[in-house]
Amino acid sequence: MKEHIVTTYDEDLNSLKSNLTKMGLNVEKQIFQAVDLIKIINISKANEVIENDKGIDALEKKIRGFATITLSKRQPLADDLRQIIISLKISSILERIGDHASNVAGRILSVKKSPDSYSTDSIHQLGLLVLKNFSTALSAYDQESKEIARSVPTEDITINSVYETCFREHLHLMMEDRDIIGFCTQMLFIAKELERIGDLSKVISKEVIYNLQGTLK
Amino acid sequence: MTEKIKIKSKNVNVYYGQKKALDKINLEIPTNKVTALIGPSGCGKSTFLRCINRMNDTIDICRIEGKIIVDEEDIYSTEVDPVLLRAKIGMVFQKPNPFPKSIFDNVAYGPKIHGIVNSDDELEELVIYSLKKAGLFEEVKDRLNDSGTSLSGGQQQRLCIARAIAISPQIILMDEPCSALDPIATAVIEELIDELVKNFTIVIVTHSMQQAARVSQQTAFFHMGNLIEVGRTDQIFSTPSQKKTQDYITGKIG
Repeated sequence: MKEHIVTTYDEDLNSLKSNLTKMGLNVEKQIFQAVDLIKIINISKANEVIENDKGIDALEKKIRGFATITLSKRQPLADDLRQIIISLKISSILERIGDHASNVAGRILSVKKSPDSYSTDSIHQLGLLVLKNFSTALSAYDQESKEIARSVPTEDITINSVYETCFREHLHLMMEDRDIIGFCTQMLFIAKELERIGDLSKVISKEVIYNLQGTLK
Repeated sequence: MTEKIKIKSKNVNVYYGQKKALDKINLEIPTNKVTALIGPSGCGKSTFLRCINRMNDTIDICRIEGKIIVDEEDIYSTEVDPVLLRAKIGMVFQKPNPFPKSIFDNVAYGPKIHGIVNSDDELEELVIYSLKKAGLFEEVKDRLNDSGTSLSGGQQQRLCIARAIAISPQIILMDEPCSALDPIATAVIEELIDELVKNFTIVIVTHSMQQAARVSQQTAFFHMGNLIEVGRTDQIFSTPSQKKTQDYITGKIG
């Protein structure tokens, strides 16, 4: 991409992007650990995920402050302006996703351990799909690629159908064994958190496309 | 765009001696709208602006081809008297250039020589009307006999606008009207442009992208004598279709 005549302008925009990418990677790590907790319940790790969410919130504030200063200082136009607008939007989406990951950890804290009769790993599978699609959305932003961004909504359709399957499966499990109703309800909440992350990844991909083509389509 | 067109240029080429300053400019300027001409220095935007009221006629080596049609009439046809044409088209320059006369006389000069008014009362009425329209009257009403040059830069520029309005033109051409003014005086002029556009067709050359975005409805981007892109201002500044426009407005070419 062509450089600005004013080099500090490029530095500002690059710094905005690197901060957002850093925030994205932190969120990715949070999702990864939250999904891992579904498979192997670990109280101290769950507490760690909840604690790390504060760092993500702080990064969002930092990006917001930086974007505001860049807007007022540079009075950007066209693609520069869009880049700043999407950083504001994506950072707030990432913050939401961070909350969902932290909520998963919170649910893990309240179930403490998995009942012996519970053997399915369908929600863990859902989590892996969600993690992968989030990473795809993040690469689309990082590489400024429409092609990568377009694959995200397609994959989200699969995620939604896997979520539906998990839901039905857990209804059956609860009907078969009343003792695990409490546990399964928490697991269904976790599945819902994951499904929301899927939706939000799709929103990120749409912002990337908006940045590149200039229209909301 | 379906609006009425005030000025239409058809294949306009302008040469200064051997040098071609404008190359096949086709541009339509809608009635009662602000059209901003943007582009780097030397791109031809001021040359184009000066073609509209035949100011380039005064430059010997300047040669113009093509047609500029104002209200269905080619202004370069032999039947058109440039003096009458300029009575229809007012102009405001980069640096305020009031006559070394009183504030009143600055505004009264045009109507007097064009014989627009029949009596002194009428003249006074017109001067007051023009000063009001230019947003200057309240500030100068008690010192209309003071020299025009005693005013501040921003006031002088508004005096020049009042002078342009006094001959009741249909078109006002502005060549970087705010570049010598401070931000407050600039804001006053911009506010004035919003008001004036209800009655006049305005063409403004500006180096401030933000100003073009604020005051105009149509924007044309010139580069090295070519008209690269013209369109709705919001579209030009958010999603320009040409790479050159994009690079210019985001500060990537000089």
